[in-house]
Amino acid sequence: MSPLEERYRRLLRLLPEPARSRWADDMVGTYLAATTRDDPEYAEFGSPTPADRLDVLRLALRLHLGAPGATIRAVAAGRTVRLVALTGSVALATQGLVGLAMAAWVHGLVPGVPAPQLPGPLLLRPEAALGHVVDVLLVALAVCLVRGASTARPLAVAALLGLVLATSLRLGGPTTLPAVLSLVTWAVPLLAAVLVPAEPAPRRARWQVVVPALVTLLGPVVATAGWAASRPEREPGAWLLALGQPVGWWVVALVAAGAAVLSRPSATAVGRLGVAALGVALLPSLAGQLTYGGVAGYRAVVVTGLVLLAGTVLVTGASGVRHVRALPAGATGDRSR
Amino acid sequence: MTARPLTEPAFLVLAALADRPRHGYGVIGEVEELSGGRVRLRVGTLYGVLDRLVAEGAIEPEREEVHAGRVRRYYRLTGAGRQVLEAEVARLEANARAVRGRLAVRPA
Repeated sequence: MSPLEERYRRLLRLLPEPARSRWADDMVGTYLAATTRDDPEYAEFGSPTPADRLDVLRLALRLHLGAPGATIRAVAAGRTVRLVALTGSVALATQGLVGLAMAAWVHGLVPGVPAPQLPGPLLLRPEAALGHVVDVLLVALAVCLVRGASTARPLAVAALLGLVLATSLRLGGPTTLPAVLSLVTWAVPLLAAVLVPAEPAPRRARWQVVVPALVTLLGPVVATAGWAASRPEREPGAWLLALGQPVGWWVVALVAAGAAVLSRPSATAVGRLGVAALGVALLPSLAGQLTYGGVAGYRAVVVTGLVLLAGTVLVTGASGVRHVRALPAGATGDRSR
Repeated sequence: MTARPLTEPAFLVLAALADRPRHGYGVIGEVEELSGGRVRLRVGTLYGVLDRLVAEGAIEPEREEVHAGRVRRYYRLTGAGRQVLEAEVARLEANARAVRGRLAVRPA
């Protein structure tokens, strides 16, 4: 075996079984034929190029996430990543839509609805303008993920870059820490969207679109309406304040989803791991809420939420891993996936 | 089998196997020639496509030959794969005809 062949074989160890057994010999042969055609001595001193390494890494990632021919466990991993990408992106897109609607109202752009009276001139700061662009990208991303359009991947990358830039514009200010922690939360579904191949959301899984949208949309509305109806003369309580924003309702929804999947023996490994992954993503954002301590008891509410969410993550994660290990280790019989 | 349009690499790989079975390196060369040098498949990309097309039943391994001390696997188009390729060609031709018709109309 030439040194070059040895290096290619080492690189191909990135591929998961059974794809490695199926393709590695053939791939090495093709690599060697391509690289030593004009220069046979290249086999002695040559090495896989960075492009080759990236290419194999991409193939390995696809196979680890359940590409055709992957193992049943890899299919479960891929579906979990897809679940995180879809539900997370829909939640962020819904929040983005609300943000865009509010901005349009404040700037007097909603026909028939007067803009609110503000004490001074309304300025559109660069980070706010960038935030609106990101909101539009998030909405487009959610639509593309639902429809299985291949443009989802570049949109996710663009949204992620926009978020990083918007966060960097806030560095140094009083909201630096929560902004960075929120970025971590937002980055998780966007990175998941970058990883999953384009595939339309199945009809039976439309709850993955409807539930996160409703939770994001209705949560703050219900909380605010409840506060306004019950205690109009008082400051909002810590609980209502926490639930009056998407992060609070996302935590409530995830803890409830965790309880639901744990109470159903028929719940799949994907459901359990999906709740755990979304919970891990949400932990930083929730922790960032600890920096807002203006209302009495607010920190205690956030700490309670953190404990509940961390517990949900641990239990659903452990249960999900156990379910994955119980799956057969071989390749999926569903070769058409 | 999927009814979605083929990706360009999958289309070209099927086209490369339309006239006769080929091994991996042969497919890369044929795809490059078919595309007029525009598409040069990377090996990882090729085997990702081959893996999917085998899984979908569009191609299948035909035989193995020993070449320079290594086993070389040849792939061939299946009947289902030929149908997929013909359907894709018909779709592309219909699109091309429609666009040519539009291009023939000179703007006023």
